[in-house]
Amino acid sequence: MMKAWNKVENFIDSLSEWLGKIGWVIIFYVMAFGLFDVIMRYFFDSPSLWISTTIQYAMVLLACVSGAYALNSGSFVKLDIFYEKFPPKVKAIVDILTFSLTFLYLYVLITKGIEAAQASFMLKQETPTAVPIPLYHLKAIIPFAAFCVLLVAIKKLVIDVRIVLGYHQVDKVENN
Amino acid sequence: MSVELIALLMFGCLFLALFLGLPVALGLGGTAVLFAYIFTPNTLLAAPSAFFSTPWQHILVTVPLFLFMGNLIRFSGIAEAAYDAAYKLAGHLPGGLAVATVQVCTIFAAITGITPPATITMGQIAYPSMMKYNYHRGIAIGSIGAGGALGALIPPSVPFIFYGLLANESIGALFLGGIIPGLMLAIMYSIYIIIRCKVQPEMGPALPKDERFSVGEKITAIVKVWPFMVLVFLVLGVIWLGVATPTEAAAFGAGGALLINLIYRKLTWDILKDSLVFTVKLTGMGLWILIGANLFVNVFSAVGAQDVITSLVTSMPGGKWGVLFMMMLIIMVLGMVMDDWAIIMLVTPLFVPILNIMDISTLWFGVLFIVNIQIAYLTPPFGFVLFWIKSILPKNVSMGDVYKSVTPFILIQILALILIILFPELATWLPSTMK
Amino acid sequence: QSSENNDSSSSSGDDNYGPPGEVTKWVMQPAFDSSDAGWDNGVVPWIEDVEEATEGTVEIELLPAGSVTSGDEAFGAAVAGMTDVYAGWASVYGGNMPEGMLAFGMSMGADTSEEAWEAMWGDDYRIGDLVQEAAHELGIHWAGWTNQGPNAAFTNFEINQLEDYEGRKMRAGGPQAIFLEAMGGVPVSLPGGEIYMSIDLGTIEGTFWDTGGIDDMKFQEVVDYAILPGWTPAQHQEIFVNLDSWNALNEWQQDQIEGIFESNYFKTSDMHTDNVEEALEIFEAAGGEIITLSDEEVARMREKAIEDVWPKIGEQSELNAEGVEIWKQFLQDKGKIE
Ligand code: NA
Ligand code: NA
Repeated sequence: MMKAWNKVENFIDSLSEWLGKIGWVIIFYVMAFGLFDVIMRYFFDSPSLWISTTIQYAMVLLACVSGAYALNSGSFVKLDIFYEKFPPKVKAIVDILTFSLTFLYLYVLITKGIEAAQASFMLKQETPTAVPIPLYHLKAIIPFAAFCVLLVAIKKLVIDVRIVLGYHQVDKVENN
Repeated sequence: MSVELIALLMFGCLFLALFLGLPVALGLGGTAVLFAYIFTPNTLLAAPSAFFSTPWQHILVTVPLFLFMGNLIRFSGIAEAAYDAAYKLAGHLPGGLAVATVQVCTIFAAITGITPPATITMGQIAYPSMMKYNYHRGIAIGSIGAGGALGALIPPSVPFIFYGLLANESIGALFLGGIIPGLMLAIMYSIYIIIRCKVQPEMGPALPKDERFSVGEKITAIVKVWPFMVLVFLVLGVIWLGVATPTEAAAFGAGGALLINLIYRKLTWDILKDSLVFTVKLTGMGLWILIGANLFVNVFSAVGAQDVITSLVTSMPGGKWGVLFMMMLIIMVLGMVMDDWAIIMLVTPLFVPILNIMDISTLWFGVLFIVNIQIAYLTPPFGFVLFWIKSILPKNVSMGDVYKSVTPFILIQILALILIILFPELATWLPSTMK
Repeated sequence: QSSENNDSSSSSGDDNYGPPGEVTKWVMQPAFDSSDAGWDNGVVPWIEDVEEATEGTVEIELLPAGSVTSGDEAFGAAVAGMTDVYAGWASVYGGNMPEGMLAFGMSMGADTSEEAWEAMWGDDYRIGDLVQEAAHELGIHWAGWTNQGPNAAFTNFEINQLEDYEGRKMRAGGPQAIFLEAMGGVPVSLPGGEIYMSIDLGTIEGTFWDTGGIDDMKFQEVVDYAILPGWTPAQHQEIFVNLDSWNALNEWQQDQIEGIFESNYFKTSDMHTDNVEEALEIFEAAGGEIITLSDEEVARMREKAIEDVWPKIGEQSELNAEGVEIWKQFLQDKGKIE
């Protein structure tokens, strides 16, 4: 049972790592193409009609891939003035309580995100720019991204439950 | 249920969740969704909509680029060169090393969008050096903390980008507006340090006579600072000269930082990877907070609660000044318990409609806001910069030591805030005379 | 009159043709907020006319962009039924419904409200039917229209002929970018809030903008020339109602709202004309110069636009291709093109 769960945990970890690495590529994309765009415009008077739109596209993609990555590594900022002082078990109990809000948010992002993506596919939605860029694939990634964040949140929930039940060595908890 | 009660419950739920340690991004989004479920189910679709349209905003691409640049430059070694130059130039003065720290932090602020890079770097370089020359801990820690905080006020600045986005104020104008207050603060810190060390020489003794430097040595040291100047030019110069927009300047800066690291042979895979990890994590956190904040505001106004805030604030006594005072106080109090990004994203959408009604310039207010955020960085118990400093100082330095060290600098910041309130031109003059 | 939809089924069960007993409440969120000229001169008078014509049986709550969803996403919100009514420009929602470009106004197309009305609803043309058909396919009903006047170039360099655009860097988005590129200029994409500063710093040499809105953006402080008649001499804004919300009205209510379409069009378009004149006065008072292109140059630009810009609209959908042909026919009939 625990072994199976450890496998799931490992899967969630490598999934978020993998998403994060897509984020690295996006950083290079926005930097390189942002530079290229200015250079082409100012030195060659030959502007691109699509680069700036794809950079906006890339930023939405970055929000998608960085969510699970940042949450999994504990980079989501918290107000820990009180939380910090709670003993580990209290922390775990409080985390389980606040998980309900996290779940609700991600559940709505997933279900409504699927609805929005379906509508976008129906409209064959694209940007109203000179070079139209399709948006429906991007909108379909949003619920998937929320789902990945939910996986990370569930991973943390299971750890919290095990702490409360006394199964989990507190000192092994990272970023929690 | 009355709108007032709903507004109160929404904030109650949010703050309860945040104080219970729920990440800010999830607290904002979760509260918004909960109240949308109960009161305006139609607005639930605003969740994926906010997720899409928030990062879609053009200017946001500057956030990862400025973060990437600032983190890369931390490893380039040019901060060491700059500190070396400042130390050779100012070391013979009382408190000279602390003044040098503030100066280097000021230049550092001009090439990074946030505070940690300067704080971490100077904590590693300047703190051991000041300890070696018997500086008092209070002056050493204070100058690093206050100097590091300048990163948010002197452009480029990620807090300004977030504020400008939410307030619909020009990022370019805000950047220019932050320059004079930033330099003014740096000068005020330096004056304080010099006076304090003149009066109490044991706080920051001048360098021993045999450790002073010739004119040649000083010039050589200054010349080594050129990469700093190149980067400042790449970021601020291109905006100034009208070559690039703020968005494009960020790409210039990141590209320039990459190039400088390459020239200094500091561009190892580990450094690159470290910078990418840092950038993606921090940007992810920032985007998710911004998405949550936008969604929160969508639901907040969909239930009609925005009007409650507006009528509450406009009924304040004292008119424009009363409102301004209240807002500054709210930011300062939140600054004691909250992170800078969270404060900006939480209160900006609530304040801006009021600013417009009261005819208060959103440019001026933006500068006041970020000066106030500087105070938040240094005020206990939650002081962003304090945590960074604590994390890099030797274990024997207690949080209490850190709190005590920064107090005089907080007073200087408050003085600066009052000056900019009394003389709005300090913030608005530069953006208005660019032609 | 755009009364072709009177046959659309009314869901109301009662046989009495007249005001229903119940009040229908709609939520409207345009693509813009109250700082836009489309607020006081467009959506507010439209709401007043609708509420009056329906004798108070339709009540509309008007929310600024960003309340329920962002301006960019507001069209989709009305399609999805998140809101009931949307107002905005096809230059914003055209990615969802390209046929909106036919209603927005063709580049160097109609010059006046009367011309635009005739092309859209005149018996010989009825381009509006194509737009309404596309709207119904998406699940919305086109219920309001207004001419906001010229969307023009505001520059720091003189434009007297087509060639003067050559190599000039200007802020231009969507269809404006297509036009500027066709004229040989260099479009720069820039968020609205950055335009003022970028012109001031010389990053760009001008911008395209809705003429009535230049004073809100304080462009008179940084720009020297206003170039009329504008790349789109008559820029229009459309109002759409979610089709389910529309069908939930009874036939009488629908007829009443259709009944104000034309009068509201000309009323609000006149309000916009006043607003444009006022903005241009402010512009001149601040030292700006208004350049009105010669008929000859307008004809040359029109030819170029029809050659290079219109096909891009036409290729977006079959209805658009059809609409673009009718627009050409219209200009020919008016003697504006060969
Ligand atoms: Na900075
Ligand atoms: Na604080």
